[in-house]
Amino acid sequence: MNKIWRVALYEYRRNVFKKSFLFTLLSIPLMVAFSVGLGFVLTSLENNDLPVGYIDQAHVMDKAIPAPVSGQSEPVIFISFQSENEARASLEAQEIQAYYVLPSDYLETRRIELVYAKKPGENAVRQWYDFLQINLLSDQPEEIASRTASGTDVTVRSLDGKRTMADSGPTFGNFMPVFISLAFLALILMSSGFLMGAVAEEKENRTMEIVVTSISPLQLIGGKLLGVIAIGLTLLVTWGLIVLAGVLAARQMGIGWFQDLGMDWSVVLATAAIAVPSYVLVSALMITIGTMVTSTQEGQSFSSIFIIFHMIPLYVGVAFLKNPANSLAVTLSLLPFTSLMTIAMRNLFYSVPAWQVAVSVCVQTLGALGAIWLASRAFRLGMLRYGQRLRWRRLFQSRQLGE
Amino acid sequence: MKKTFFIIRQELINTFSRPSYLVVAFGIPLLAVLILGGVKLIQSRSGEEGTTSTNPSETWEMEIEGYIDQSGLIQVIPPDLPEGHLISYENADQAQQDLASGKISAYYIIPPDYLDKGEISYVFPETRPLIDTGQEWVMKWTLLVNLMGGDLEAADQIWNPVWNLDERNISTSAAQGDLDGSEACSRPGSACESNDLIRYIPSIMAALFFVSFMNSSTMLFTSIGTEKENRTLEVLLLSISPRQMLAGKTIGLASAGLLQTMFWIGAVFIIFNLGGSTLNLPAEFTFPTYIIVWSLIFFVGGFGLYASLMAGVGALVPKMKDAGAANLIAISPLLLGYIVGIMAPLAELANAVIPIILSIFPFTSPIVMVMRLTDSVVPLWQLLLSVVLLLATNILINRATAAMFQAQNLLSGQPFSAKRYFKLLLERS
Amino acid sequence: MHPIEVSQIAKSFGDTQAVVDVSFDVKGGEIFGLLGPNGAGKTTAIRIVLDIFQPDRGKVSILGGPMSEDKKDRIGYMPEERGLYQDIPLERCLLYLASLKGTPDQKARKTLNDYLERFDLAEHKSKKVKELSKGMQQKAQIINTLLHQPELIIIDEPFTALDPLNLQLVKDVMQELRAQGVTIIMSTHQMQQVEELCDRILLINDGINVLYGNLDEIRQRFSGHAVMVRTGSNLPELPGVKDISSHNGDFKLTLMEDTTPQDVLKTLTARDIILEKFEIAVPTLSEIFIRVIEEGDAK
Repeated sequence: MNKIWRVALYEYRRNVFKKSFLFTLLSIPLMVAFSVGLGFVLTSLENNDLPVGYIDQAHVMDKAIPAPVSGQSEPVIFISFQSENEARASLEAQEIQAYYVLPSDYLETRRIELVYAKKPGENAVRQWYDFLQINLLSDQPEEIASRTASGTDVTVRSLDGKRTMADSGPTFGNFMPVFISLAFLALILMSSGFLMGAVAEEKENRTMEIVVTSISPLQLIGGKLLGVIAIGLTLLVTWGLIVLAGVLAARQMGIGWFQDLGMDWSVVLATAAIAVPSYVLVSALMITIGTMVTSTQEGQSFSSIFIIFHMIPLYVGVAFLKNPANSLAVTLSLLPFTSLMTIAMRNLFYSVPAWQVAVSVCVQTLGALGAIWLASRAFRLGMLRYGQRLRWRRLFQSRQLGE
Repeated sequence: MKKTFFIIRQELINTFSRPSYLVVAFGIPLLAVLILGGVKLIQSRSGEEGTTSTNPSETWEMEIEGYIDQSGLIQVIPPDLPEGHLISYENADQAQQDLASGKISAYYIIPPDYLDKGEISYVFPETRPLIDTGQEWVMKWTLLVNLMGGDLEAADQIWNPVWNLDERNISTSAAQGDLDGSEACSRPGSACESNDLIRYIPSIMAALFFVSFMNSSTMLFTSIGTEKENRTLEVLLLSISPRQMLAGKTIGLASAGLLQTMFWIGAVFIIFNLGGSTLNLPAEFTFPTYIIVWSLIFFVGGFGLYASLMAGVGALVPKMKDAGAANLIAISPLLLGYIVGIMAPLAELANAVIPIILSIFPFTSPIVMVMRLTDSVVPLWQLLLSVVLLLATNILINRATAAMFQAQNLLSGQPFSAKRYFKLLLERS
Repeated sequence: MHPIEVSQIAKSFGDTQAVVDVSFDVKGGEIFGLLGPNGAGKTTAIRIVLDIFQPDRGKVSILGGPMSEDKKDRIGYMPEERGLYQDIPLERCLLYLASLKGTPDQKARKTLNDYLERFDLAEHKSKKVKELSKGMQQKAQIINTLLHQPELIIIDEPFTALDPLNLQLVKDVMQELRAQGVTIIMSTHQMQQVEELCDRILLINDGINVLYGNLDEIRQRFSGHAVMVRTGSNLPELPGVKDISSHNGDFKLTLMEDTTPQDVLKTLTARDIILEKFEIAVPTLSEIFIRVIEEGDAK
């Protein structure tokens, strides 16, 4: 056991204390931050805070009751104009972003006109309809008007009350399993370099014989796997801390989606329980490939295949979004590679039965153990094949491990 | 010329015989298409596919649901709802029993403080995805009618305040009375307001060019780096000049990279169609030929430039696995071009000052100019200036990189340094 | 029981028969030379002994029985495919490899410092391995083989890239180890070093034993019927002498079958030829090697 730890520690130090590791560590958070930032920028580009004008020929808006503004939006000012010429002049002077015309027969025809030079922002359009609505309710008692204008918040929940989903859609907590799965996908992608290089390094440095006459193949593979898992954990923990900081900051800034996280820890733990053996399984398979190819670079391209397999549930998600208990969903939940993402996606809006989670954990774990065995076998067969590739058939054919 | 041709041929053979290239270029897109195709096949055979009807009133049938009104608000069921489809329950137990037996598909709970808080619960059975909110409007409508004291018309006024919205665009581009700006949607560009796909084409082009350049120039870097590590590069340079070698490798790998990109585009096209949504382009949409021609010119120019830069990195880096930071230095202008290329059209700033400058600056023009071309019309003088500068830069960088392929650099085991790289580039050019 | 007992091992790789039939024993505390031309099967035989390869047939006993994981800590091996981790400092590389041999850190560190001093690498211990010259890396490799104080050492071409000073140093170390009772198997093409160091040898050609046994006995066996003489002047024709040839300033007198060295000595002294050197001519190992291989190839 001591030797396994030695190998693991060496593998960990070899990779983590390199400048390039910092790049790996920060690349995912930076990419996520870039995407989120892009999202915010795009959203803000869709908004326009300039005032909006209106000409109320139907005298519906005489009281001009301001509508309640929800969320983070800045209230858009609505300016009443007496004539269209005035409004047009103001529009051309870019004092307003657009104006609405309510004709005198609006209440009968419910027809209005929107005039603009550039399409008004989505926030302005949204707030206009709230403004119109609250003024249509001007004759109602305040309590009724307020309730009607604010609308109804529907919370969907399961029969046992354990799973809920707000009207606004899944919460951050609902998405946690999906985030964990995506984090593991990112981890697999990032780790592929370490994994492929783990054994390739022994080949490239020609240290293979020395190492193999010091420890057994299983100890070597086990140690390397442990080392890479430790690297993965380092990445995960760092990303997790960055995400936590982000979430806390978002809560401080009052961003709505982060106020009520809605975490269901049992689901999060179940996802993690599947994710860990999944990671070990893929890591061991990548080490196997690293043993079989002639260079690290060649091996790394094979990692894309694993990513594809893990992403199959994302491609076919529409098939079980509407019916998360169908045969496709259940099958993908039990198979290695697809299980993690499938169960995470199904857990967004459906209680995945515990037996399916249990079977998935077992399958992943058995797969992981099998993959470790395969990796040590491949290592034994391929260790002295400098510049030659080991064929898959050979891996399963050879009765004797020594060549 | 003959020797260059040999290099091109060899590079193509090497690339196509590498399993990793075949897997990434053809295997992965094929796999994705097959998987999605397979899923569609299974779905259509098992009939499990959820159909999305384009005419809800024809195919949708209202489910029978229950409700427990703890607020006392609901006095009347709107007469426009089918009778017997909204059943009142005294308590949750009865409702749960009927839900479990399938008599109702779901039930609502309206709490006593509904008027104050506005919150209700919608209870689903275990087998139903919580994302399915298909019928909650029924209760929302019922509550609204009851809030309006049973006045259907008043409730409808609030529910649907606008039946018809007439839009009028007074800007010059729509001066012909073209309210939807359909002329803007006959070619790619962010001016088209009605079709997202057409609006996003400039950003998509920017991303596509970025990926192509990255992909192909990385292949060149790998090719040179590997030959340097194997020491075959020194032997090769005893037979041909560095320029012949670079030209051959650049052309060979550009072809391989272009083929890979085309295959991926094709796969994405098929996936798009398989996924159920067709490429939603209006009938009058065309991709102007001049855009294709100029795009090819900039593709060749851009690739030649970045291939040379990456080849230079390959010549100076002692071991390829240490090349990460070095590569980043060489491609950093490309990243800038990529970011501006994506963002500018989305912000409708494709013709702002910075994109204009970057579309002429040779290190970013291959991406940014193509983005501008697909967004709107670009003045000819800008196009010509950009191409001339790109060509001149290509010649200079190519010369500089070729000069890096000297024994003292190839044999030196010195770690890569940005200072040395730029010094050599500027000296030689 | 000897530390190594190999009995009739054979190994093929596809159609190539690398080892056909090799048997040998290595006694405790001796330096055993494993010789043979390129492609003879030496490296394959070593890898079979170390259980890196499994033989197609035959039996190997190492340190009292079949190879096991715990025995690996008692064996030092310097393979033909030379390698150390290039991207880490020398000291860290060697300590890591020693730790894989089960050597406690403190002990390894002390022994390492002693060896680094002795091999003149102390000031380079913080450098990355790839920054060292080929000779320095060779010395580092040797240190790695010895660091965990094994009782059995298998060493392939230990003298490559070493200058005369370092070559002598390595020979001194090997002799010291032998004196301490360490068993050493050495595979090399440098016959001069084999003659100086080895107690017994095995010469393999085409995967089979060709020569095996005590070095002196083998040399005697191949000594032929000749004497080496050094005089101040040229030698005339002598009775009973078939041929006279020069060898680095000496004369080699090949005798006729019925002539003894004593007869020749008597003849020389009778003729008042001043002798500076007179000895029985023993062939060098290199000469024996070439002769045996050529005879084998001719068959």
